[in-house]
Amino acid sequence: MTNTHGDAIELRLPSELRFLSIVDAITQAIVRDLDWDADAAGNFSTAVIEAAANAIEHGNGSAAGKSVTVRFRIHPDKVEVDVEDEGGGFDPRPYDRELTTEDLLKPRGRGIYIMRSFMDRMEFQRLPSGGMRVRLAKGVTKPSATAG
Amino acid sequence: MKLQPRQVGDVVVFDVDGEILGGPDTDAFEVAVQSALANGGRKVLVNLGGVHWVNSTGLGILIAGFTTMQRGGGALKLVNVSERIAGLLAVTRLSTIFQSFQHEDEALRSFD
Repeated sequence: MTNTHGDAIELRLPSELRFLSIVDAITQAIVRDLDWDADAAGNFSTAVIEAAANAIEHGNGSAAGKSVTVRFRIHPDKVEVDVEDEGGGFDPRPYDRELTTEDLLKPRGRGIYIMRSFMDRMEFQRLPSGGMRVRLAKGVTKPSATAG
Repeated sequence: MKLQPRQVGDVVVFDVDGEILGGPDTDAFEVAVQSALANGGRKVLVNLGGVHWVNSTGLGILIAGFTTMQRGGGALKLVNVSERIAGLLAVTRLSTIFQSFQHEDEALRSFD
């Protein structure tokens, strides 16, 4: 992990699902340092893990030698996360939709829905290199102030 | 993911440890469910007390186990679900599919 710009933290992972625990630990550490409560931190991390898992499995096809980059940018009012793969890209539009009753027992197809549900903003971008970037953003959530 | 089955009366309890995130976990969970069914087990309780988080693929693994048990005439329920996983079940509406319990005794009694 490198702190490249003071308010940016970048993590580069091999394309193996076992490294998602590291993504979870770092994501939670970052937002808890911002005094986010446990629920907000957990939901935020779940969305980042989802993006990283998609990048590993669907973007890079779990290929050895391909990496996933997770980049956090901490702003006064929000935290942004870019997750980038080195795959061939894909069209996310068919997957970006509400879940229906018919979807409930399907084993797949929830990843993008989960990211959108737990984040304020989510957008996909095709990288010049051919891979995909998903950019997630969540506004800073502070615990309620108490009198006294 | 580590999965250890244990028998409590006529209920097979799966003690799961680690994260449920796909890859080899998919086969391991399905084999455990199929094995329970093959041995006459119709009641499976998945103990998520040792699971910190689940991703969408992990949810798919639980759903596959649920439908396998249902098709085999059995039931699969969850116990010791963390607030984080409960939140994920709620947002994906899977809380309407899975019966979840806070305590194992309560979960075991629910099969009667």
